[in-house]
Order: sequence, then structure tokens, then C-alpha cells
Amino acid sequence: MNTTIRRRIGVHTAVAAGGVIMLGPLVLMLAGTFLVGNPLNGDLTPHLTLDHVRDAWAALDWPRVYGTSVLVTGAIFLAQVVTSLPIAYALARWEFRGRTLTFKLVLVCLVIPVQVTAIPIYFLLSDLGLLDSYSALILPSIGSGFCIYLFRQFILAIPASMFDAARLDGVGPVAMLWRVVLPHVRPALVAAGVFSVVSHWNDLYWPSVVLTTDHVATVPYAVAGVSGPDSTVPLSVQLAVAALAALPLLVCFLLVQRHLVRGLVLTADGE
Amino acid sequence: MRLKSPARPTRRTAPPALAGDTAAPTPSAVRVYTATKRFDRSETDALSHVDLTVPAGSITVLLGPSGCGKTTLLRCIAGLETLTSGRIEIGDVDATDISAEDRGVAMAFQNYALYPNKSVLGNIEFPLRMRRVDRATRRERALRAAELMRLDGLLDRKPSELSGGQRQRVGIGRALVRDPAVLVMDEPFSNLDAALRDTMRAELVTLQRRLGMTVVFVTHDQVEALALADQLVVMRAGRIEQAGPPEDVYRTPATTFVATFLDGMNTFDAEGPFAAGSAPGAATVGCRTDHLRIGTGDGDDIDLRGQVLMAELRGRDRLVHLDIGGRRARMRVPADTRPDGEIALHVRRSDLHYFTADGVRCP
Amino acid sequence: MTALLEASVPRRLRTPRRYVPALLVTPAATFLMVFFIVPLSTVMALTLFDYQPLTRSIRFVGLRNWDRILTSPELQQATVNTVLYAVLTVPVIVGLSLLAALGIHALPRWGGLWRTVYFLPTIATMAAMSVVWRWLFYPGTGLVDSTIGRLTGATDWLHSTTLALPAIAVIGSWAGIGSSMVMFLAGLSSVPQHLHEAGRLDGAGPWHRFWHITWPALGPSTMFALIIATRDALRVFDQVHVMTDGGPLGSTETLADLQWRYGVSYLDIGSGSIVNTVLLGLVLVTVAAQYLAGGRRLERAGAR
Repeated sequence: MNTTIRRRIGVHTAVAAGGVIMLGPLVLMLAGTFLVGNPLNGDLTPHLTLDHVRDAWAALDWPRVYGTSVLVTGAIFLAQVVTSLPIAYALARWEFRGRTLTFKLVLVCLVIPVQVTAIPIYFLLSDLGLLDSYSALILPSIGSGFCIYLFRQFILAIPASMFDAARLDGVGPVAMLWRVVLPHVRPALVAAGVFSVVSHWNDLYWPSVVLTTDHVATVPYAVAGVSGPDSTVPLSVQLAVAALAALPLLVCFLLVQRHLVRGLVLTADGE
Repeated sequence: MRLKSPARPTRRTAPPALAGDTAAPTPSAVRVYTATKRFDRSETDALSHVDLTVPAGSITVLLGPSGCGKTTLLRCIAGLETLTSGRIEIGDVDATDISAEDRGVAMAFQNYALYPNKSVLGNIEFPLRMRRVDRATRRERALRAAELMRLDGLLDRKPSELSGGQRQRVGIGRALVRDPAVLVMDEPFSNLDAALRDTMRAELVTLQRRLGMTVVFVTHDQVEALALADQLVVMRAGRIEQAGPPEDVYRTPATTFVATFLDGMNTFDAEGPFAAGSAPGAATVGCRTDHLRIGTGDGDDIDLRGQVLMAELRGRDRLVHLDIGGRRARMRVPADTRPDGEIALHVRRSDLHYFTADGVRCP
Repeated sequence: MTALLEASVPRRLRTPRRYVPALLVTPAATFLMVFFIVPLSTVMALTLFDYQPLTRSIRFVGLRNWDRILTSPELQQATVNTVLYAVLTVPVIVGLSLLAALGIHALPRWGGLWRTVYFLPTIATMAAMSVVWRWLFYPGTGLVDSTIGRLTGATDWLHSTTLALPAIAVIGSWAGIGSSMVMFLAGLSSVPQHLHEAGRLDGAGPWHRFWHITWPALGPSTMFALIIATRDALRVFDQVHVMTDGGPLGSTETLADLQWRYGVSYLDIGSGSIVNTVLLGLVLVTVAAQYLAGGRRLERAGAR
């Protein structure tokens, strides 16, 4: 038994050590935000203050920026689910001509980075007069190979008997989506949600392409305006800005993290 | 290129005597002393002060309903679970603190647990590979085990290309290739169809007689239990209700639970027609389904009247469901008899079993 | 008999089965086509043309654009940087996240805590965290300089042409471990418990169990993690934009940042497209390589 206990302690230590590295910068961020002095100059005066937070709050129109980010990420995810679930369902359970081709296209979209297609999309939006608007931020991200792939895997794991029973009960092929599919893909929804919301909330690139003013600035875009390498804003305030930027996501994540892993299971159970 | 240290003992502390990869199998007895197991966050004991002796070279079957603890006991013997208190001896060694990798116990799983990315031969060879047996010997022993399990011709297939019965044979072959001290089996045949189950059972018994292994077998199927066991152990709620040769357990059930579980014995309250002459302190009277006979009895026999509810053809006999004085009962009659309506029955007094109010057989 | 059948069929309009797949596929397919496939083809086609956005004139120039690519030092450096960045981060991310997942999987009771801890860097807005990291890499007093710097003499990372990119890579790895780790955790949880038990009884210790049981089962997860990590590495933008702005002397200029600079900042569409194309080429090459190596598993995953 000794080896097992020793092994266990070893694992605990390793994981904890890694955890320290993971958390380190975040702790520093919080320290710089709330401490009076600059910790990295060695000034660890244990005086807490909200001054930096207050300054940070004043530096940007936070309510507006938060609101925009929430609206944009929410709209994107919602639209992603509404469009991706049906096609995932079709790819998983329906036979049709061009199914393999469609799936391969989905995989292609999964790997193409947004930068590659940025310029043509920019022109398209420009021609439609949609630049610097919510639509510019939302529309291009709705098609998501990632979501489709994830949902498909999950739907593949639903036993065929569920669908058969529903058909005999008179459920039509499209109604199948919310009667059979939706209840069973909840973990996948959580996983897709986490990845989608996190990546779109934190996305700096795309807003940098399509936005020209601060009119519909999202959080990273607004923060970058304040925190660039040439910024004159004092460091502590920049840290406070960083904290404010990251905060909402952190809180939401804590609420859903338990379901996250289950949603990413890529293989069907059993042998 | 792998660095091999000559004759390096296995990297754990266990005595090699238990890691049974000697050529000649030495079946070991298993002794369980006052074993108790409680899982974390559980209100009850999965096993409660269980004492059991499994004689070397015999088949002991653990039988009981779901949740009775039979699988837990099996897993404790294998070392996959640790006891909360008590001791387990395998052979002459106290194995209680020895972990599963080193106990020399082999296991056949209900869902086969074959390594999906390895071939049949690869699966069977694997335990020997882990014991650092050299390639030539490994191959030879694996082939022998495969031959024993009649797997010739399937050696290169992957598990996904095999049928259920074939997969189970691979699983057993993998267990046997180590010449284990003890072989434990967790409902290995319950995923197979009835005919296949019979065949596998017969094969298992033949194998066991030939190799002389100690086998502990878990099942919830009474028929299977009675057919296989040298020692039958009936369990309920973490305790052993009765242990002994199957004939004894069947003919002389120690508790009402054993009686009803094994054969669906009919039970009646010890009153009315059953009152007279019954053992002192008896509250329940039991009667086997084949001991209820049609017609009126003579002399000492107890006469009853029953209303036939339904009859099921069981091949050679027929199982008749009756209502006797408000109590459901069943009796076996030859297949060509078709009792109907209200009929007269009798039972011999000597065929009756008496149990106290606690369900224990009257002394 | 007919009465029975009629009674059981509800009088409701139902989509004929023939049209259902089309109905299901169309919404997503439309978005994918408009915002991925069509632009992709456009970009690939555009490489052979000279497109002036202001006059909207298109001229076929054949391979002249590609010629420019091979001679532009800026572009070459950006390409090298991007590839280097990927080489630095992807193995680290996939390797470390696998280790982290294995460790966390072995400690089921603390799962929630550690999963959160390791995922937090992914959540934290990179644009914001760059500030903290700039601090950490601050010449002289920053944590990195005072520890690693003092030991190895590698100081002032962000202003050094050789150390700036590794610094960015460190940050990228830090932020990227969370997502891969979560995918591996999912993969680990889908390995049937019975296989591990069989392995234990067969005498396989933890390393052997990993190698023979866990690793083969992780195929799809590893593939997925690898592809996502590579994709994210090749398109790195945030840290570069906020922390180093491509400097010093273009040593951290990545393709995505270069493309933004040309295409959006300078409105030099032509050059921007070319950068795009290089990036696209890179992505296609790496993905093709990964797919050929193990992509089958990605597709097969989920089928019995």
C-alpha cells in the first residue's frame, strides 16, 4: 500500500505545482488590483484599496462594453445552437447524398482560422454596409464547425431505440430535434457553450477588423485600447482593467464547470 | 531498444509466491475472515462480517439478488476493492493488503473487458508480457490457452470482430494463461443467449476438473448456480444466508429467503391446515413446487383446495399458478396434465419445511 | 381496418421524409458557405489576381503575387515566426495538458477544483492578461528576470529579438493548456473502468496501463486537441498585438498580426491577401499532415 500512497501524494504535488503556475498570473492580477502599492516593485504593503478598481471603472464605459459583449456572445451561441443541432442530427442519423462531403466540409471549417477568410468577409460586410455594427460581430461566427462536430458526436451516442420509440409515438422527423435530441445533448451544449462564449468574449482579432469606432466595442477591443504597450495608464489600473475584463467569464464558468467534461466525450460508450 | 535487467523481481513488494506464473498450477484455497466493506458515503455495509472458506480446486458459486454483496465480495477477493475490516487469505498468505496487480488472482468480466486495440493473441499474451515472460514461452503458453478455449483461427482478429461467446472465451483464456491461483468470474455468461450459456457452463466445468483451479463464480441465476457449484453460497444484504453443497442448500434451505430464492418455494402461515403437528415455534411452513400433488392424500397428508389461475408450459413439466386459501402458490405437474378450475391437492407432512417468525429454519 | 388506421394518424402537416435532411442541413450550411467556403475559395483564387479595392479592378497576374511572397523579408519572417510559435506551443500544450488531465483524472474528489484552476487561464481575456505578463517579463524587476533571468542570464525577454517569441510562446502555452486538458479529461473518462481493472489483474502497473489501455483509447481526443491547438497556434494574434506589437524588429510578428497590420491598419488589401494566403497554405499543409497521420480516428470516433 505504501507505493499507492506515495504515488498519490506525488500526483497531488505535481498537480498542485502546476496549479500554482496556472494561477500565478491571475493572483498577481488580483494583487495588483487591490493592493495599494505595486507588488512587482517589491511593495507588498498589505493595504487593500478599491482606488484602482474605481479608476479602471472610469477608464471605460464598462456597462456598455459588458452589455455589448453579453449581447454578441449570447446571440452568437444561440444562433450556433439553432443552426448546428439540426445539421449535426442530420449528419449523425440521416442518410443522404453528399453526407460524407458535408461532413468533410464541416471538418474543413473547423480548422480554418478566421484570419484566412477575414478579407473577403470584410468586403462583403462593407458592401452590405454592415461594418462597425452588431451584425458584423455576430453573423460570421454563427457557422461553427466546432459545434457541429461536438453535437454530432453526442447524437451518435444516443441509442437508436430512443429515436425508434419516438417515431412510433408519432414524433415527426423535425420534432425529433427537441423531443429526443435536445434533452440528450445537454452536456455537449455546456461544452460548446463554454468554448464558444469564452472564445468570442475574448476575441480581439475580429472586432479589430470590423470595428472602426467604439460604438459596439466588446471587452477585449475596449481593453486593448487602454492597455496597449504604449499606454500611459498606470499599471495598477491596467491590472484592475484586466480583472474587470475577465471577471464575468470567471463567474459564469464556476457555475457550469461541472458539466463541462461530460460534454466533450468524443467516443461512444461501450465496446 | 529496452534495457532489460536480468532476473529482476517484479517492481513491487509482493512475494512472488502469489504471482502464479509457475508452470504447474497450484490451486489455492481462499479464506475470508469477518470481512466487512462499507463504501464511502454509504449508510450500509456492502459486506457485513462475512466468513467464507473456498476449498482449493473447487467451484464456489456466490448467488443472490442485486445488491446482496456477491460482486463486492468477489472484487475484494480479487483485490479490486479493499476491505474496511477483516482478512483475506489466499493459499497460506495474508493477502488483505496486497493490491490486485500482485495477488495472482485472475478474473473473467461480465462484459469481457478485452483490450480493443489488441488481437486475440495479443489479449491472451498480455498478462505474461506484464510478468516479463520471455517471448518464446509467452507465445507457447498463449497458444496453449487459445487452443484450450478453442480459439484457433481467430487469433489475429480484434475483439470487435468476434461474437459474444468468442469474446468471453478470449477473456477466460487470458485469465487462464497465467495459471492463476484463483479464478474469479463476475457473471461471465449473463450476456450470452441461453443455449450458449449452457455450452459455456459445461466447458467451464470440464476445464476446471481438468486444470484443478479454484474458482469463485458470481451469478444471480439459480439454475446456473445449482449446475456449477461444488459449494453454493447464498447471500443477501451483505451477509451469507447459507453455504454448502448445492444439494443440501436446495433440499434443506436454512432460511425462507434461501428457500424462496432458489426454487420459489411456496410459503404458508403455520395455521389452518398446516397448524397441526408442525414444529414448535414455527410461523411459516414451506413446501417445494414439486411436492404439491394433485388429488386427495392419505393418512397423515395435508389436504388442500386450490383455484388454478394460470399454467405455464416448461418443456417437460408445467408450472401451475394457484390460489390456495388466498395465498399464491405454484406447483409442477407433468406436461400432459392440464389442471383447471378448483382442484384438490395434498402434500406429505415429511415434505414440509418449518421456519420461525424470523425466517430461520426450526431446529 | 381502415378506420383504425385513420384514427391513429393525426391530421397534421408533416414534412415528407425526403426533404428532411435538406431542411436540417440548410441553415448551418448557408452560414458555412457564406462565411467560410466561399471566402476561402475567393482567397485562394485571389492569389492569382491583383485586386485593387478602391477601384474594384481585377487583373489576372498569375504567379506574380507568389513571386512577391518569396522575396518579401517581412513575410518570410512572419511565416517563420508563426511556424516557430506553433512548434514551441503545440507540443507543450498537448503534452502538458495530457499530463494535467491524467493527474486530475486520478484525483476524482478534487476534480472540480483543479479543472477550474487549469481552465482559468483559458478564460482570462488574453488582451487583459497581457498586461500582467508584460509585468512578469519586465526587465530587471519582473518575476521572470529575477528567477530564470538570474540563473541563465536570459533577461529582458520582450525586448530581445531572440527571446521575445519564446516569451509569447510561454504565454500562449499557459493560456492554451486549459482547453486541451478538458478534451483529454473527456477522453479519459470514456475509457471503460473494466479495462483498467482487467489491466490491474493482468499485472499492469500505472505506466503499462497508460500505454496499453489509455493511450490507444485517447486517439480521437488527442487528434482533436492537436488540431485545435495547431489551429490556435497558427492564428495567434492577441498577445502579439497587445504585448509586443510585432517587435522588437519584427521578431514576434506573426502572420495574423501582419495581416491585420496590412489589411486593416494600412488598408493594403493586396498585401493582406497575400499574407492570408500564406497562412492558409500553412494551415492546409499542417492539417493535411495531421489528418493523414490520424484523422481517420476523428471521423470514426462515435461509430461502433
